[in-house]
Amino acid sequence: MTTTNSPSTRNPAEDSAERIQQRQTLTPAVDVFENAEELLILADFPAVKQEGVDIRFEKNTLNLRGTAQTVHPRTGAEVTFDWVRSFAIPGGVNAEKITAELKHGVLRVTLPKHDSVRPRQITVRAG
Amino acid sequence: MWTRYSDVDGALAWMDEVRRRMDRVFEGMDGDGQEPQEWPRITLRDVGNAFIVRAMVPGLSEKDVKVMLNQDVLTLSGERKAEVPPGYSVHRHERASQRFSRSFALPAKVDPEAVTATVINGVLDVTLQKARESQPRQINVRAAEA
Repeated sequence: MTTTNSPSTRNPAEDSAERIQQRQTLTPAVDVFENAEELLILADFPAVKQEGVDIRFEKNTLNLRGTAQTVHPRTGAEVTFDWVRSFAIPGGVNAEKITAELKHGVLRVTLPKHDSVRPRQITVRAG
Repeated sequence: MWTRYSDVDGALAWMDEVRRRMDRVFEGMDGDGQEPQEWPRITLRDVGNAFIVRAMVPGLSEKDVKVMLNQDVLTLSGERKAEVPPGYSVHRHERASQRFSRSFALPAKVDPEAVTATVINGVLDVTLQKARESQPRQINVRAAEA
């Protein structure tokens, strides 16, 4: 949206107008680790309560969303924002067994691999 | 009691600085998160009878954070360890280990006995009650006798 008014002549009332766009989204810092059994994703989700976490896995995409509230330091108004991050997950993950845990503002998502893609130790028997 | 003008100036300068920092914090909320940011994000609020300092400290609990008040200087410090769990290979490692120490000069006297700090869901809140002489007071305006 553009306006022909210069900032100095702008009506101050405009500053209190409602925003049409959706609430702010932030990108959390993440760690992605892997071992033979699982993928492990850690995401910084400060200010998110357990009920504010929304995790979806569809079409091999993992969507992480954490809705949080804080207070705008200047206006004192309650501000709602989302931590949002998505990952394309390689095949071989057992979607049924994905688990997540939120602790001290860090989300921990564990994506176990299917048994078929796990490395197996084959015991060599003596002949 | 009248406040000296130098105090008022100092407080205004501090408020300006706070405002600049807050603006930066909230600009940061618009960003894509790729630019390096101060860690932790800290905001300061004056709620009349108290100051509230809020820091986003994901991964930290009460025992990982130290809050110190020395006269009117508040210092927050702590350390977050974000190490790779043993036996895992690393695809991304953005959650760096952090050691921080940040100090703020408070613009008004606070009651050192009435400072509380909590860490909930990775958010540190320090509430500092202002000293009695710094509390805002309402002055009744009496109508002059005719």
